[in-house]
Amino acid sequence: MRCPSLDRLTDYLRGFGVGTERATIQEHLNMGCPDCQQNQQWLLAVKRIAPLDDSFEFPAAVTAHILSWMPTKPVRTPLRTLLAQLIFDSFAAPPLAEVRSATMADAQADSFVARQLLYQVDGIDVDLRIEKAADAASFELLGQVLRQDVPQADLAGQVVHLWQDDIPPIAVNLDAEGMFRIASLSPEIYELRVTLPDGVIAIPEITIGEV
Amino acid sequence: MNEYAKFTDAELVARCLEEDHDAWATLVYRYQRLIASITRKFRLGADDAADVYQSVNLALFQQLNSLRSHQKLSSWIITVTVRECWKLRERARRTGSLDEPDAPDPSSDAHLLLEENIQLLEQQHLLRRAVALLPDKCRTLIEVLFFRESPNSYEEISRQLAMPVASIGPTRGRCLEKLKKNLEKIDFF
Repeated sequence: MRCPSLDRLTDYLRGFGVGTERATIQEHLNMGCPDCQQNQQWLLAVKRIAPLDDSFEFPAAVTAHILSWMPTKPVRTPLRTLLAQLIFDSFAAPPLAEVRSATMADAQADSFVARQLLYQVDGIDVDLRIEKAADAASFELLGQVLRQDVPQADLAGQVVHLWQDDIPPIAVNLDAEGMFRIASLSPEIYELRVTLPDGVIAIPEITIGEV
Repeated sequence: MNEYAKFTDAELVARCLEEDHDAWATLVYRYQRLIASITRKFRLGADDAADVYQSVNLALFQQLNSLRSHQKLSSWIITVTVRECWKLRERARRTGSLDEPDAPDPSSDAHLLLEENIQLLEQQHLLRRAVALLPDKCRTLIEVLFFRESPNSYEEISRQLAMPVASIGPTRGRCLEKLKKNLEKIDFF
């Protein structure tokens, strides 16, 4: 005969089934069919050990206490965006006596003086410096993020994006002092975004060079 | 059934180390009945058994990192549970505060009992896992077939499971095939 189905073999092992059918299965097993022997082996093991299972479930409150040791991760909420305010612009500063203030026109002039900008939001300072590059055709943006509520080294690795409509965003990381540098910038109006663990600092308009 | 139920112990431990709460819950539920079985062997009362359950899981929680490369978590759980049961019984004996002070003292033969039954405990654990991986209907059918006091006829099974008699045989056959596959996957045989 062909191998009995698992259902029929189970009934056979549990002592059910009519005489002739049992005899046929017995005869097949006696032939040493390896598949049926394997099935017989695991079915008998299950039949033997299942009724001995004296396990139980512990009270739900005890299990809940154990599960509480591993905190449930909070649902990640979208980062808030903080709009930074301009506090200081060296191009807008009143001229000091005997000292010529830098003007936008200076940006195009050979005597370009670096422009210093300071933005603030929620106790976080973003200090920016725009310098004309050595090739005189492009600019460099140097920046530093300073915050008093966390060690400065914790800012390392946070991402700074510089956006401009016509080009893909430029991304750099803050170093251990919260500083970054982006070179080879053409004169444009850019948007700067600093992504911190607790929010994004946005500076919507930074004019680099004379636009 | 959630996807975590299919994970191996090593996969769950790895995810626990990434503070995956669902992985931790799966691990705790997977082993609670094995721990319960051992507390039964020691004839602990409900409160003492719950203390052991917490102690074993605390040890598991604290040692997740070293268990990352452990080959057989079930053996580790059995060893720690037996140790916790012994500690509890020793402490209770000294203070006379056993949950069930009138229960026969099994300490003299508990160790021997467990030595003889570790393989049985592990097999029962694997069988429970394989059954837990079955679809609901199959799980019930297999439990009726092997775990409960078995009905003697298809008519009785039909009444218990509200299934037509004619479909019990084929359904049970398919469920047994699934059980076999699950048992193979977790190295039952």
